[in-house]
Amino acid sequence: MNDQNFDNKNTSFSYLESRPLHIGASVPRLDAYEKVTGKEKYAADYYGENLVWAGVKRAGVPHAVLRGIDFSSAVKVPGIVRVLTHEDITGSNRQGVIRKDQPVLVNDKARHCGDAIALVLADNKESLKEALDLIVCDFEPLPGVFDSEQGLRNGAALVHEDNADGNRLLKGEIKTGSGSDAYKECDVIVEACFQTQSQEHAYLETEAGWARLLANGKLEIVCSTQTPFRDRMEVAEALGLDPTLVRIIAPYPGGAFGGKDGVTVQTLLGLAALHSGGRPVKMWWNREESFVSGTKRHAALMYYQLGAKADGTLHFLDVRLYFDTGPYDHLGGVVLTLALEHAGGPYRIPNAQLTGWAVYTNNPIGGAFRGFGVTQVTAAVEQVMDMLAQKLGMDPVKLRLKNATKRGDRSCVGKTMVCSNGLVECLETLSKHDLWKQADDWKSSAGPFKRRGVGIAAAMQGSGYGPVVPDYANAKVELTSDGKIRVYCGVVDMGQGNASTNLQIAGSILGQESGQMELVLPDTDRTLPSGSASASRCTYTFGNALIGAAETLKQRILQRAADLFMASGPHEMALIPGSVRHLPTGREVPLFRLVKFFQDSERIAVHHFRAPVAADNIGVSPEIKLHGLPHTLFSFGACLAAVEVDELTGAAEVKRFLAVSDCGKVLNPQIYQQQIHGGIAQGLGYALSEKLEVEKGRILTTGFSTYIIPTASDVPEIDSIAVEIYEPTGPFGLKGVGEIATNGPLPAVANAVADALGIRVFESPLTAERILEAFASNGRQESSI
Amino acid sequence: MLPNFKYVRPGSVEEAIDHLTSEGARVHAGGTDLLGCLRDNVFGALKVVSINALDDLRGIRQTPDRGVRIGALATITQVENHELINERYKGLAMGASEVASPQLRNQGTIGGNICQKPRCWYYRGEFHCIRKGGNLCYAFGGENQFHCIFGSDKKCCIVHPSDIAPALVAFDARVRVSGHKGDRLVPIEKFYVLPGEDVERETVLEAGEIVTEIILPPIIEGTRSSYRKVRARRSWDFALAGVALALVLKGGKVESGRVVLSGAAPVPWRSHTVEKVIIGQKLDSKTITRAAETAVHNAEPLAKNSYKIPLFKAIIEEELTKIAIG
Repeated sequence: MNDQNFDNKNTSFSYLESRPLHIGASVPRLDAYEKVTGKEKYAADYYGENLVWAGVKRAGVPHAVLRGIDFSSAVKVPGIVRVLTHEDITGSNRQGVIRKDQPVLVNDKARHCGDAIALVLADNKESLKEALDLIVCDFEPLPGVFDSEQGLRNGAALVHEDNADGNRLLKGEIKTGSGSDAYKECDVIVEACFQTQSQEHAYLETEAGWARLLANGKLEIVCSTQTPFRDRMEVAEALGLDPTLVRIIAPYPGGAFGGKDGVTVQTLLGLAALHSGGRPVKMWWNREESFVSGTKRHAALMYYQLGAKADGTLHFLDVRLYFDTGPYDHLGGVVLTLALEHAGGPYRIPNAQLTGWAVYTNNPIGGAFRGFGVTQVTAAVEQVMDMLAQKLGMDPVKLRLKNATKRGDRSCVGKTMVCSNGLVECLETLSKHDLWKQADDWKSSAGPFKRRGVGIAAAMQGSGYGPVVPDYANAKVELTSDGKIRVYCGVVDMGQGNASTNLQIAGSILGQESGQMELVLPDTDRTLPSGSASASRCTYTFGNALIGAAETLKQRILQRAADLFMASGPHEMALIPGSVRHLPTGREVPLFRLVKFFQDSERIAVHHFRAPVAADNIGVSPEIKLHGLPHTLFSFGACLAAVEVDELTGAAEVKRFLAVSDCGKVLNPQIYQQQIHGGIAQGLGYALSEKLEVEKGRILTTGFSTYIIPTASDVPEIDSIAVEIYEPTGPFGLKGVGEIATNGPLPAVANAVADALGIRVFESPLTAERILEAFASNGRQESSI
Repeated sequence: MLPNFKYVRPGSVEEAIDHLTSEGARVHAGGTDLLGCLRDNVFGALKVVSINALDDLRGIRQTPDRGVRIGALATITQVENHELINERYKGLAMGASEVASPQLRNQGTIGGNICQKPRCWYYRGEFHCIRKGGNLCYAFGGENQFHCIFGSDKKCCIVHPSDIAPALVAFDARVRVSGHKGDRLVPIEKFYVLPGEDVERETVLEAGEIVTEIILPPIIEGTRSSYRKVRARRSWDFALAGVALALVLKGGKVESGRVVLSGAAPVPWRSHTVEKVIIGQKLDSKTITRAAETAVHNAEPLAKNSYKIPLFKAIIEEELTKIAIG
């Protein structure tokens, strides 16, 4: 067997000009060269001799009892190694992050079209396909649940008969102040119902992995994942293995956005490798399978009532949320909980009644997606804010400024906001920008058959895991035997650039340039547990741990060098690229020499960091607390969309976009801007064109010719401004930047369309059809929204 | 995954035709639609016959009567950028420029474009629909927001996906079809088959026949043409609604011409009703409004595509106005 296939190599950057790694400098991403030249090895790039292809027979029906599986013809196909069903699984055969309700291979019934029924192992892809087509499932169809409100009604078909709460996965209720009674004290109340759609992650790299069982009993899985350490536990439990005998290796995923937060191919691959006779196994979903079986952003139905005093002071909020979580929890309860926490936006609202349901259905699985529940409620609350501003005759920026939380204020769930808060700075920066100041001129210069509008939205995004689940990272930094600095990343870089930022952090502390740095990507055998790549937490949590490890190693290096030079102490020494220098004399010792005076055990420094959690008890149920409420660290943002609507076709085109964000101090402006731009592009797709067509649980849009994600020509020029408020708990003052930008585009665009036409479209995406329909029904008159 | 098939690359049209008469043979030019259909199992193939060695089918040139001949293997990009076409058949160049994405336009051919298969998600998906030999059109009672408002014959409600064919119909182009029995020239309007005639085919091509060239008649003086496409995304997206116009204006009046809709019917849909309203008339706002109203007069929208009605009205009004202004 060729060891090159699975060895998790240390990456160095010798092909690039060595660059200084200062905090705050726009250092080009160190992964860029390997990625654009095609050298970077993704999980999908693993093959090897004697390879077995593994593939899955999917249910293809949304809800049906599985009475039997006939694979007698399939096993006769030449080249078939094995056909496996639930009977071949000796573990729990269940997966899930919070509630373990998803079978690896179905044993009782299919709960959505993408459910895995059988696993086929074959010598080649052709035999695999042939065999998969020959497997016959004996299904007894059941009535399905395809809508979250419908799922809660009495008599609805049950997705999980053993769930005590029927189709209710989680109900959350939060009351602050006098709750709904406060509506009586309001001078103005606006109400609306919003519907937001499922969204596909649409990563370039579909779910993929490679696995093998070693002779010593160790199961090695290379996969595209955001969560290698959690995967190890999940795979072990589902398959009945000792977790220490499972190794997960996580190369850079080719995009993930939450869709690889949790198991996709991992357990299936592990099961396949247990039955492949020691041969390596590969699984790689095609785009259609990725659509059908992968998770989606939860479709949401949101009822809002927002009340204020005559002067615009927010006083009351009543919200009811229905989130369609599909057939499995995945992270649906957590997503709902974040939605509840952010339901009132970044504003002070003293009285709130917030209720939400995550509902089981037979639709595709709802799961993690950049923004994580916050995106949906931000769309709602930012639109009712505009409706309120209009009713009050107030400028929408001023209304937001009047109610914006500042440090020490309470959020709508009653949590005291203790972290740095740049919301006011964001809104003020936006209001001073030309796109806002000159909005009236721009709007009045629309051409024939065009109408223009400018809309804004503000947002906040909690980061980390909340008060119960420990949000920690363990960083490891090594002075290698040849004098390089090697950083062991415990948290995945799914494209955000955090691996590169980690080198920047360690390099800046240890005084090294990129040429002296090496990187090890997450690997449960080599790097240390550091949680998931999610929740805007990667650089915050791992960065803090890394500072600790790098500082420890730095002190060790300086001390050893000081001892060698018989200096009076490490304060006389400084790390410079490749060497340590004795400052008073200018004498230097190269690191590759100095390391010879280290014992192996000293060359490695580790540091544990656990993110701070909210200290206040705001009186929510333990279950909701477990699901992550409240957070203590938030990023903030305000954005503006300048939109032109074609009166004839209804098509809305975003001409310009402005995003002002407070994500703390910026460590690398280039990577920061990429995150903001990417979030906006994804948010604009959500706002305007991305529409998953699902007919009775079956997805019709299983490719990019029908599921319309934006192309380069659909994304406007973006102005992105960082309001750099120093966050005392963050590494170098940083907060998370991964998600905040995704939340603003939908409400900003919807507000702009309402500004342009005088009518509001309450259902996303705002397709031309919906806009034209709204316009035709009441467009030519003035409307009072 | 692609099925297993034989691949041949014949050196002459005759040889290609021989190969194409064998069972399960499929013609391959740019391959941009063929490979997708094979991979999605829309149909199978035992033999793929590449016509890419047939250099006679390339090129765009003027005919002796000052028409233009476009070889079936001319790429969409070549059609889009060709000087003669831009000068005289502007609507065709505009149609070509709206096709798919730059990469697909570089690879796809005009012959393939006019012969492409429908994009209906039931047809492309795992549904044994009437067009694939089943007995049901799933779109009638299902998700039909992108389906037709004309010409379904109550059998199949696909729309023809081409942006080029409507312009070719507007210019009254002819298609040269080569087969065992020799060549025939088919007016492009007659090239397409409605579901009522035969629900399992889109064109009149018989087994063993291929399109070898497209012939545009000489342009009539005073012709103004255009193509307008409404789509959800600015690149790589099919038409929600589109209109190709080729009108001959003389003395301020429309002397003759054609109006052809895309995204409207299973074939490029010639709107005789609009033509009737505008021919012989000045293109003033009254005529234009009437034309737009008439265009959708007999439309039969499905449960989820009535949006196309205001859309067609709007773009016909807009495009006629532009033509009137010049």
